[in-house]
Amino acid sequence: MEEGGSHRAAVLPLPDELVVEILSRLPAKSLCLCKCVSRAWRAFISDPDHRGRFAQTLSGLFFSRPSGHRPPWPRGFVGLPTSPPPGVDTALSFLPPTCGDMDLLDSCNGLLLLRCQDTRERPSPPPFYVVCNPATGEWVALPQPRDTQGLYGSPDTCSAALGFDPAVSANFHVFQLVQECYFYNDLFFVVAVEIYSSETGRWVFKENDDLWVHWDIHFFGQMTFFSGFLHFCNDFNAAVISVDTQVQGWRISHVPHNVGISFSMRQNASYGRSSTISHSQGHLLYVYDNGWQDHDLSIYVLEDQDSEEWTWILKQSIDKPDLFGPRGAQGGWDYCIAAFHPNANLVFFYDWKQKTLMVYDMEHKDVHVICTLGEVVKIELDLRCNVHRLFLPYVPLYTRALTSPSVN
Amino acid sequence: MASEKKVVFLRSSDGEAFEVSEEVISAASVTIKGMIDEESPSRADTAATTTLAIPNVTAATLSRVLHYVNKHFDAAAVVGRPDDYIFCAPGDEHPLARFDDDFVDVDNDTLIDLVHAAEYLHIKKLFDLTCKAVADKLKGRTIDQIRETFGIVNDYTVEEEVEVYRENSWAF
Repeated sequence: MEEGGSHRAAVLPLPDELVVEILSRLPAKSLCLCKCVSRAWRAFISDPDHRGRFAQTLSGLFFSRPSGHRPPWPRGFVGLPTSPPPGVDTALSFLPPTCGDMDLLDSCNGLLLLRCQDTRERPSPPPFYVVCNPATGEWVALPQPRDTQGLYGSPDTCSAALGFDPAVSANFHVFQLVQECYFYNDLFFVVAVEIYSSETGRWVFKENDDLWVHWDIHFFGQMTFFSGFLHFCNDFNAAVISVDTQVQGWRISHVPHNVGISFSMRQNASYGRSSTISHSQGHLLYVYDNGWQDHDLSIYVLEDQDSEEWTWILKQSIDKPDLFGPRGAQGGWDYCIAAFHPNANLVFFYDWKQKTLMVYDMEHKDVHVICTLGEVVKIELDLRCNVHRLFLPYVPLYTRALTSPSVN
Repeated sequence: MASEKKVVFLRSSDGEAFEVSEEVISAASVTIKGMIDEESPSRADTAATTTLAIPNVTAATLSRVLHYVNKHFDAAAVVGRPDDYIFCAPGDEHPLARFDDDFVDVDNDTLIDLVHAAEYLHIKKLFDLTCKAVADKLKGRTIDQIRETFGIVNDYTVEEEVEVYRENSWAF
């Protein structure tokens, strides 16, 4: 449903173009309040001709449905609070049939990263990465990386992420971690990272030269792109590993949390330990859940990314029974962090037991159930529980940023 | 290098003429520079001063604009580079930050007129400053404060209001 048009009442005593200039200088939060002012203001801010110039905010979450839900599309979308954003093709129906089976791997500032494979014929052609913008229908297929391990893995063990910040550059990067298993303790080491740049159209392979120095570079947990770095967590020892687009170095910062003793991922999984990395309101956040031993989960914030030493400080602890009720039959809680709101002090949780998506207000410490979602894929804690992200927060980008190749 | 400073006169929509250095106003306003360039073949080597009609801008607004232009662009011309710290007070981020703050500390109508004039005269710095100043009047305000500031009537029905508030509730 598109609003706006020529019958609109004046918003300010200025031509539309000048009002757009003024409103384009407002953050998303102020724009949301302006929408509440009057019908004319809401129509003006939502107008397809203008919205490309305005700051956007979280409009919903993509989420994984259990496999077997194809066709047409294995991913769901839940609009926040209610409807999908106007003009956004959340079913990705603009992608051609050659994209075949798709797995949604990541979402970053309006762009999506997919792994596609055309399985209509046997043998099937190899899978490939696609980056697309569901608000403009643009898409681009990436050339094959040197290491295709990431492309062939199951979606649960995916190690690819998208880096895009339209405020800094119109170019995007795709990161792919290259991992090798170390037989001694079942740990996968990140031995290299491969980075695709849309500017050069090429992948660059960077080995981790310090592998035998930095024993910490494993990837167990989640990834997020923020402030020019890809950050991924290793919940084995509550560490965050960060690498920039040029791979000038690997940064390891430790979250000051007593992680207890475990010797393998299997043990970590059996304790229900998990970590999440995300960002909100201009800060990088790390959430550590020490599993079934602890009643609370801890949210840490990176103090100052520009400083020489990266320091994580405890922002908040959240009491799990308050959100998810008493311990389950197995002794733990069955939930995941769906997303952090990029512009507000809100965190979204999914409770597998109740099958509810809920939002927790970290400032006022209250929780609301948004909706019931029965069709979310259940990832069992396993040896490799690199569930990159089950829910992907989506902020629409209405400006055209990708150059579409011709189909095929 | 010209030894004497040329001046031009700008006539506002309500007929008042303002004198300004040609060099300064040319550096500031793309629109007026274009007008002067168009005029120049006919006025080469003549002593007559040019008067340019600015039909879209009132005297009240034009005098404010010229105050801004003289402060920002004359300083640049004198020192030879823009943004020199000649008006700088300790703690100011920008040499003219305090001047700019005071300049846009005016009522809404005056500010809106300045946005109009800056756009018409194509003075980018002034346009950015005034647009940001209007945006600042919207930023960090409650819905009622925004309505009050800009005289906006709430025309939502009760149901619509509940819906739009719910949609945007995270921002409250």
